[in-house]
Amino acid sequence: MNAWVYIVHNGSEWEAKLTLAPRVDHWYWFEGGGCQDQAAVGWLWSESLPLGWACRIVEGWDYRADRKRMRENVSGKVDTSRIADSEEALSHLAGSIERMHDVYHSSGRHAKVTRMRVDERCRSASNERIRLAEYWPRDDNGKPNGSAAERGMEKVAASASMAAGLLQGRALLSGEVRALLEGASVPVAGASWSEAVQLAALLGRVRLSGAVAAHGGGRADARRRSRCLRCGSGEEQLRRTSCASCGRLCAYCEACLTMGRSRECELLVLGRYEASEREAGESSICKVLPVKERLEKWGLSPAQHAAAAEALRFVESQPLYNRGSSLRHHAQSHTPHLRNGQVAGTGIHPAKESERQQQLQYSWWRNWSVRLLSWGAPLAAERTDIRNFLLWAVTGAGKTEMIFPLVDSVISRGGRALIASPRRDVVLELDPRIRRAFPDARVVTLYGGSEQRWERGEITLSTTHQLFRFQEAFDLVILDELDAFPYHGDPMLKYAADKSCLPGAPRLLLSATPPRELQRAARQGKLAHARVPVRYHRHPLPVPSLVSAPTVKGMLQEDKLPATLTKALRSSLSRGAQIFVFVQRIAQAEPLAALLRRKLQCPHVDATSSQDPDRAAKVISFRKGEIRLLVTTTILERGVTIPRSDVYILDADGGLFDEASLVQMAGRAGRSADDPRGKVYFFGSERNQSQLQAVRHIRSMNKMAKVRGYLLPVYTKKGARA
Amino acid sequence: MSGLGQRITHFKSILQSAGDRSMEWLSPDLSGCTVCGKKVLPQQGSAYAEQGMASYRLLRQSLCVSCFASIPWLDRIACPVCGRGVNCGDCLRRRERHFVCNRSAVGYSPVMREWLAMYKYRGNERLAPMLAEMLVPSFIRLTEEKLIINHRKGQAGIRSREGGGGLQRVRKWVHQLWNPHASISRSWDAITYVPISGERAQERGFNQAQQMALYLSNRFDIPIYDLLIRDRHTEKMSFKTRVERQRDSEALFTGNEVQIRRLERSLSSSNGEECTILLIDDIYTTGSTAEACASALVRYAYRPVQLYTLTWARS
Repeated sequence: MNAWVYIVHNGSEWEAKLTLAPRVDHWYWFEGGGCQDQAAVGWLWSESLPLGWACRIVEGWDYRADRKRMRENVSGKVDTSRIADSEEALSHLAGSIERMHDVYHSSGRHAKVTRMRVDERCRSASNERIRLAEYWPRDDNGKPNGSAAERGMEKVAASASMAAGLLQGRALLSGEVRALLEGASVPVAGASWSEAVQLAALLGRVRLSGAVAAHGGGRADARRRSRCLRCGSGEEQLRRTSCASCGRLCAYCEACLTMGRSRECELLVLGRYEASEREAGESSICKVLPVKERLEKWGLSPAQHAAAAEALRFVESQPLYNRGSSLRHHAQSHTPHLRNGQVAGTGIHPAKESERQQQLQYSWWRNWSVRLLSWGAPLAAERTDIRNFLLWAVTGAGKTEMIFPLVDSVISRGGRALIASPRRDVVLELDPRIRRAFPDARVVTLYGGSEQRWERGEITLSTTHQLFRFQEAFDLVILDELDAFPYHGDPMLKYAADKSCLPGAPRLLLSATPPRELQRAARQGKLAHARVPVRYHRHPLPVPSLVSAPTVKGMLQEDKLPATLTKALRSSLSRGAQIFVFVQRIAQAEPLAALLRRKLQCPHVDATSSQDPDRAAKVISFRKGEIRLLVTTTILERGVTIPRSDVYILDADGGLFDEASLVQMAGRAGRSADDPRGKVYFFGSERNQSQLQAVRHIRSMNKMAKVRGYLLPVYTKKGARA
Repeated sequence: MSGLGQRITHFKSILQSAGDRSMEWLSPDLSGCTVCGKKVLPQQGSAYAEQGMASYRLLRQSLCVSCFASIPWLDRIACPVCGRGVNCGDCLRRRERHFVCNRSAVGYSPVMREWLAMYKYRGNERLAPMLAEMLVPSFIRLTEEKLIINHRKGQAGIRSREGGGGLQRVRKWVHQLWNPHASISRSWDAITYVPISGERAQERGFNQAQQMALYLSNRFDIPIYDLLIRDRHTEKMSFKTRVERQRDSEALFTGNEVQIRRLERSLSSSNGEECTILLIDDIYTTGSTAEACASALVRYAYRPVQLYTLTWARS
């Protein structure tokens, strides 16, 4: 894609701008198109340039500084009287365009050599090139035409404001912008979408840039060290090919190809989030009703209630972004919230708590001012302004119910909430539950191939991959299954999750088995958190029994099952439980299922794995009880809830099962109130650290539940299990 | 430590982009299978047909075993005109044809459709050299076939540059040493490709046919010319009737006169003799695109044109 560059004098200095539709800019600056301080003079470079170049020229525009330097060198004094001298500004522009030609034409090695001589050559070459510039404002010889254009411009203005509204919080490539505007039937036909977007950019409601660009501005000739602004990938993920669209060698990002190609000359439109219309609602709802009453209607268990209250106070400790009026108010209302936090007693030391709050407070203020200066600029480093809250809830604790009040709080104040999950099936499962809980809210569910792709709602359910299309869009972000594939360990998805948060927005991290560094941060008081150590039915977690057994490989080779395993399986079958058998390798699943079928003389045995096309169907028939025993890999370690089930983990000492995954698999047992005492067995040839840690983890959760009195009275009296 | 690693990969990427692009195309990919990213195992005994061919070896370096096995090579050709694996009525029904014949590398199976979509629509240009390399076996076969046909006709395909004295023979020998594909490259005057419209180029950023043609041109040292131009104004075909559409698709392409003149100048043989041109495209479906290109070339060329088309897939 190509763009144009122009310079205008805004009364005090020369500014360089890039445009997709020069007509709109001319109207904006010189024909009274909504600009208060009309520019007196401008020059349009009539030759279009690759978008990436145009961005760099505009970003690296330092005419004033340059001149200052120059003047000081000559006379030791800054001469400001001639700053409006358009000829020199224009030749400066020509120079920077020339430099672009120079940098991009010579490849690699040459760039360094030629850069030395660029300046002298620019001077001479630019003089010839200046005739390419067109003087603005144009002569008013065609008055009738001008008024016709005026009427056309009104249409452009109308569609620009609609487009800006729709693009709020989005980060979209040009093709996606077009699809969005067409989908919403914004009256833009074909080519004039660029005019609408350009006008919105001039009005400061969207920001235009190349999708792959140099980060942090930088020098105009620093061609290397670019970054994909959509997924944050660096130079290693970029690939340079000759581009038919801009006619140059231009880089594209290989990391986020599946979401549409982001490249140097491709337009990335970032829409600015604007405060919602329902600003008045903020104070009324959350101030009038205390936390306790608001939580009541969700029917939470005591443990859920305590954690949800803690999280809710955290979320509400600061007003929503962009609601300027309440910002000052917030500073005073901060202390009472803190007191409440101590009363709830989540195990955080009061002194540490206040210190942490102060830290958060400080960093938030500091960053907020930074954001004001350069809103929308993607951050190279990790964002520190996001307020994280870890909700560490055991498997089957009822996490979804706990997030309802938080979502409610944000949307009732006119904010937008996001619930992101790494897996598509979890998103699809969550969708009906959220819609039932919030019948009046507009819920948008996003995943690859979603129908609601371009819609905008108060609640957004999304896979983490879809977050690439957002930038600073949500007042509350809830990240489900934080430690699960593919989110965990993927810096790209982490970047996407970071950039979807508004500045200073609260972010809830949900996990039953948080990564070690988060656990540590929580223990040290650096990360606000709440623990839910008990399931919603208030029975303790089943503690795994460790049994010594040969490896699965051995079983298959000898065509024999150990007696302990057969006996346990028989008793599980006879008590009518559904049985999960977890193995390490996909290749072992089918043979083991065949062996079990034979030895147990039970036909209802099946196997599934990530490579099984009928996986969904098998899980359904397992849920129905048509399959009694399912041999599977870690693919079913999360998200599957079977009411009456026992869990057998074979080769529990194998390298693929770490503590988190053992705890997750064990968490498949005893999930319903009818059968809370499901059995969990770790079969392995030896006891290793992971198994012991998993057992310790489960026991400690049960102990905490007991101490806090969350368990049913039956357990506390006897002190039986755990 | 990771900072150092980053710096190394960064440096590597600088080197890579600074280096010659055609070298990059041919170098084996160390990052796993080009399509699925799985590890590429070191080569074991080959179970595939035509083991000796270098391009199969190259492909097996950049593809994993299962991806390589999923390529439905079009080895057996039933229709001599369109190169399909089964007999086809389309070619018999077509009354006039301006190109000699078409050959395709693979059948257009769902897997191949997926690969092409990854490259063409998602824009994963890393696939480009691999897909282009897939053309090579059928290109070599097509060339051999062509030589036989021409020989039968009594006009040797490599006529003008054949024979000569001792010096000539030495030169020829050196040339052959320098370029092992000499006999193949000498039998073609030019490679060209089916152009895409400006709008498509804007949107997609590259022309897949051009990239394939460029690859073959580099590999076999045959000059490439962009002899055709796709007219923009015939874009909207959906509102037209069948007859109009047919007429339009005939006029969809025009010759690029500058390039055609350049080609004419480069031909050493005397005026009036035929020149052989290879046209590259990604998919051959009914042959109407190939026919449109061929008729445009015939219209614009200064001498009779023998046009062969080579396509990546035959649907």
